Amino acid sequence: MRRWTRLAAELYPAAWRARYGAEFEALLEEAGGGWRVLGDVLKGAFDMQFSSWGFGRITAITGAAGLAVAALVGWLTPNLYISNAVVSVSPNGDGQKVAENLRHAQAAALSDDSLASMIQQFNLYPNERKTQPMADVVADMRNRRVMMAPLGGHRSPSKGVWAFPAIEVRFADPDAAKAQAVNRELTRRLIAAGLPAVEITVLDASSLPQSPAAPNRVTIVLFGLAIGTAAGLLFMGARRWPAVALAGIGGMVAAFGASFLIPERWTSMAVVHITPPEAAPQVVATVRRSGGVDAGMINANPGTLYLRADGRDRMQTRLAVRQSVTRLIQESGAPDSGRGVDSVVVLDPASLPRQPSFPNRFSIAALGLLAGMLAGVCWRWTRTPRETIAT
Amino acid sequence: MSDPTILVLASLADGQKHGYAMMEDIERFAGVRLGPGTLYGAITRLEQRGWIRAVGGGERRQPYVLTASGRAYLAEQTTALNQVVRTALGRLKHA
Repeated sequence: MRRWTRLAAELYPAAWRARYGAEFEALLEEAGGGWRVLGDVLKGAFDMQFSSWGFGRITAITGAAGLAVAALVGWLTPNLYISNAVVSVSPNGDGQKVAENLRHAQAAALSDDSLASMIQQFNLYPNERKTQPMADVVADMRNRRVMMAPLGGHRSPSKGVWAFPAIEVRFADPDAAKAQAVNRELTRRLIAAGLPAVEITVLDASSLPQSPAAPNRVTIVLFGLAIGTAAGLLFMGARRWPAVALAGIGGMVAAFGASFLIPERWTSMAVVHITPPEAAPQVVATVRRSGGVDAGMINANPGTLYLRADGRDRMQTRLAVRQSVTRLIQESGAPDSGRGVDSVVVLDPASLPRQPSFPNRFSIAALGLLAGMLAGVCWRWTRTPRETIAT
Repeated sequence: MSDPTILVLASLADGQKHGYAMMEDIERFAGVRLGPGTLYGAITRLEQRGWIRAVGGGERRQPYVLTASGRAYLAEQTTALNQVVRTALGRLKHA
């Protein structure tokens, strides 16, 4: 044990050993060995090393630690492969009708039923399906894993409508072969849904991805390095001005706690596509006039609208949006509605909000931290230097 | 009362001592056995602050003594502590 204790004494900083090494060794010889002494020497060595570390060394170490953690996270994050396919749309016929039929075909291929059956068919997201309702898994797949976007879309000068010569179909999955198979099926369903109104042909078949598209491990590692370095800088600041750090933490905790006294607000949203798109401004105005639900046009996609409500009860909020969408569907095609809407396709049903949209507790806590630190700085500034020495 | 720096200052109040003598002395008057790492952590801090200094030279068992500022600091701390102790004892008597 004495040998281990002497080895532990070697862990002290070299400058410290040069000054105290001989007398410390003499003390160790007299004090004897034992686990308690070994532990005490190790702790002393750590404290002495730590107190002797300068600004650059601590930030370098925390930066390296952040980098190592980020590298581990990047290594543990599963790869995501993206399979692409490109289909072309026959330009025959009336451009406006083709565009509308194409949107209907896309909506059908990406409908809840279509995606749910594909999830079953390819056994997608088995873990998520154990813990989440199917509707949520489908919504997540539609929002995060599937993309159908026009390639080279343009506005026809003669007819004033959007035309899509080609559409890119993308699907992302941790399994490259599965990504290709699901993409192939999505493309098949898009083609089938378009018939007979729209003739869609495959230009580029679903690719088998050779390398993962995500995660971007270089970005993750750089992010970890930045966070680690920032943490080191914060730590150095807290060590240099502990009162300021404590005031900041106190302010953050108080602000975070106080944020729970603010009534929460929840936001639910739905996305619909109406035909003809020219009726969109009238629909938006009518929905807004009805009160309770806001609406707006999604400019990138003519005829696509969002309906949004916010309130204190998340279920009631979703109900308000759902009722508004239902009313829109019921009134479509009715000549007395005065809106000129022929049909409504629900692209995203009214969402059940998972997180309150207000208050933003992260921002409130950050503000509390800032306010507390400012208070700490003011306190130090105004305080007379009566603490002569801190032990 | 387990602050090693105060214990070391108190140990040196009656004259110079080396590390092991301080360790034994502190255990005797305070009932606390400081480990070597803790003791030399306190000695390092106290010497950096100028409250103790090494005497003699070149010996393996290096003795230390209180400086004037160390003595003043110890007096200030023990006076404050004494006030607390007297108050607590007085209140305990009347409780």
